Amino acid sequence: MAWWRWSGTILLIVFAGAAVVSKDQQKKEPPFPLNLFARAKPEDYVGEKECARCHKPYFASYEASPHALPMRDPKAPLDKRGCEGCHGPGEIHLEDVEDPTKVIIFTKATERQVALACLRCHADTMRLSQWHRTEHARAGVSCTSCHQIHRNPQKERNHPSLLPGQAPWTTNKKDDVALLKDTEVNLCGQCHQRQVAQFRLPFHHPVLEGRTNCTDCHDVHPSRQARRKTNPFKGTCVTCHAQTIGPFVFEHDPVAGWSGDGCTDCHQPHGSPHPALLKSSSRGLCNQCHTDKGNSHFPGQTCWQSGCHIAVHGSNTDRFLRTP
Amino acid sequence: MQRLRTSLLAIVFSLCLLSFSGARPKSPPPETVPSPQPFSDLSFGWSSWGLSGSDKKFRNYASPPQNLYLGLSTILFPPDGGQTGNLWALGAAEHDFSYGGGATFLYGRLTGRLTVQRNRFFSPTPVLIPLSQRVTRRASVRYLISPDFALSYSYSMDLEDHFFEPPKDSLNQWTRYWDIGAEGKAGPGQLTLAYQHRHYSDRTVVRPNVTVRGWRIAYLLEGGQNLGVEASLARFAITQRGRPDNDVTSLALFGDWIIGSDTDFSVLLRRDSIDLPFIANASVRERRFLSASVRHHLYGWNLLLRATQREAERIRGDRSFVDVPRWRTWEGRLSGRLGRDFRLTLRGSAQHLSHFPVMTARDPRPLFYDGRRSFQARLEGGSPLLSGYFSWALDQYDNDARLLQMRARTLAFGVQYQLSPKASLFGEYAYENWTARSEMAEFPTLDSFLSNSRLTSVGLQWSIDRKTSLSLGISDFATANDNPLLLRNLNTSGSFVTASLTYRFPAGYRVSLIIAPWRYRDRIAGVMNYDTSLVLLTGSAQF
Repeated sequence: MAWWRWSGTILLIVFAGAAVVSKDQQKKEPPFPLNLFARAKPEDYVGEKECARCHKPYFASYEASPHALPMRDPKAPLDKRGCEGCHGPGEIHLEDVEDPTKVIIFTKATERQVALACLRCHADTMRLSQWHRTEHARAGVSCTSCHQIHRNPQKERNHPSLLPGQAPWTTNKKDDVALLKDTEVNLCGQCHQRQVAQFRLPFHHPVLEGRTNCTDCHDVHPSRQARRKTNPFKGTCVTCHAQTIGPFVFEHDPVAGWSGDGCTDCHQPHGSPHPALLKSSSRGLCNQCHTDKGNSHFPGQTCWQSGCHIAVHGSNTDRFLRTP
Repeated sequence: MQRLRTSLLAIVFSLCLLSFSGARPKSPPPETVPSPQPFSDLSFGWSSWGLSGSDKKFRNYASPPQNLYLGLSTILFPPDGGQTGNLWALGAAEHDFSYGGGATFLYGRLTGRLTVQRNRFFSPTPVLIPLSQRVTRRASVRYLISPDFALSYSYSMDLEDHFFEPPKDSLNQWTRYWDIGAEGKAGPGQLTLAYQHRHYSDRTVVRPNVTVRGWRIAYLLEGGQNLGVEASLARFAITQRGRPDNDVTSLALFGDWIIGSDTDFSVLLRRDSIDLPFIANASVRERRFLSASVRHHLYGWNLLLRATQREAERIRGDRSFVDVPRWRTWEGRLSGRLGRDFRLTLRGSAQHLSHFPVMTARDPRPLFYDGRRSFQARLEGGSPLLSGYFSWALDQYDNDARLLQMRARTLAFGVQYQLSPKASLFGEYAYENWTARSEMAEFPTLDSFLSNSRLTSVGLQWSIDRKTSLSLGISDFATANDNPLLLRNLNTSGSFVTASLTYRFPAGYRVSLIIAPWRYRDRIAGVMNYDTSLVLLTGSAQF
């Protein structure tokens, strides 16, 4: 308990000191690409029609995208309108069209520069430091790795993107509102191939069938959708598997989720060779912890299918989890 | 059912025509660039399962359409005066369907979404059980009261009727959830306020109904682009009828500091105070969590080091203090480029449990794992002509007091070869091997209950010309288990071939033919075997 209080105090002192240090840095010019907007005058914003004169295919693609509507809001400030809202003021770009420091090119910007540009408008969901602490940010994955401001007309797909083993009647639909480049499983599977391979095992979460999505369980970044999950008390799984939410009079601690690692002590969430996504089959699962019951306690039986410990997730009536 | 399908087909077709003719903007405003035309997509087809064998295993997760069916139909309403919208239906009137729609007003400041999804499936058993189903309805609204501050509301209803092989009880339940939130820029930082309400109801009356009410307040203070500190407080009340309330209060402090252009530091502190008054066996009174990480970038390589400490203060059923088991975890990740074309990632973690929990069972040795180790090496890259990845991972779980060690080794590699600018081949192989040893020396040992699995996939993507494309995917798996109790579903194999040929006509029409001969075998109990030669012929038209 003492370490927790000490850590909290030290943390506050360190960050108060850092705040003083960073106050001096705030006086300097903001980093690229925010510096483009910081030094722009109102006349530097030339309007989207000017951009369309040189970038016609990109402009057509932008027009067809959901981004076009908010970028044409007449009440929006000049620096958040049209092409220039994302790519920077047109007049500065026209000073030297070859200079990459005078325009924001999302395919060439670093992940931090992309985040700085996107979060100028998406501050209602996330701020830079919230993005910064995500695992994706730490692994160098940028917003545009998954999201598409508008389609790149030079990179149109011409073939269906069905994964091997993916059900051809899938109801997995690309999330157009989140402007994702592809379906979630195809996007996430570009890096997380091991997990996608597990979805092809005989028992799996129906992700390839389109019944669930990666973000139903994983928080890719802070979002309103993440609020729906039941993380604070028993882990994410009980959001959908609500029958295990409890609390039960007799909890199956340590795998109940209050302590220990919870559900993943017994289940492999992506896919498994065993029914119910279990790590091990039959009584072998229980023997991972209850080693003393291995060959002596009713050998030759499955702990729950035999009708004995049927309430493995918790019971309100029996301390040995034999009745619900 | 056939009549219903025909009616729905007619309704969707009429809506498409309506959107094509009526919803078009009368004339584009002179000041702006012309808006895109309204867009509707209608897809319909015919399907045959050609199934022999177990339809329960075939429909374990989803039910494909049968005979005539509606595919994905979409109507996009063009932007007009700052508002736009869309409607879509997928698999209308089939066992599995989803419907949805969205609308945007005030140039994106007010948005709303609605989705309904139904999924029908079977538990894989030869026993006669009814078809299970899950229906989820979701709705959400968001209003931006300023460019940086939004109010939001979301609602979901999840109904589940899930039937299992006896003696497992069926699930007949629903969960209703709604939340309301306000978040965005407030003063010098970011404010989040949220209230949520969740109600779980079990219609079999086996489990008590549960209501969870919770609120959360969080404030993030940013010091320029380099510093952020966020504090959050959340409280949840868990209520069951006739029982005292349960409470969870969670206090968290996050911080991140970009020390220089190459180094950053972040930290998370969290404390959960838990009050579970009616739990009769050991439970947790307080959880404490501290995590600190440093990331450093050097010569194109990224190094991340993280230390985590977690502890759970446990109490007995009579509320007396028991112990505080403590887990310490060290994690590291190193990633960077090897030459111009390859990227290497190494990651590892080691977790150790100290202050062992006291067990009141007949065998007092701890039931928790006291050590977990994992390591993963991953190499990826190549040339535009030939690229691929190779990954090897080890996960190990130990409980020294019980002489237990479980290990999973996973090998996965994949290759993509660009045959020509229009055609590419890919292949993938994954093998997972589990081993275990424990004090169980006689057969069956713990190792006898673990399975190994092998997965192989190959595929071809070929854009034959501008109008025609072909996709072929072959996936094959096999699992192996000593299976001492000779149970179903443990020694299985399957091969799934999916071939898809698509032809695009001018004016947006498209026809595709999918042939999927799928095969599943259980080497112990053949009752779950199936063979199918699924054929789906789909046509789609754009207006």
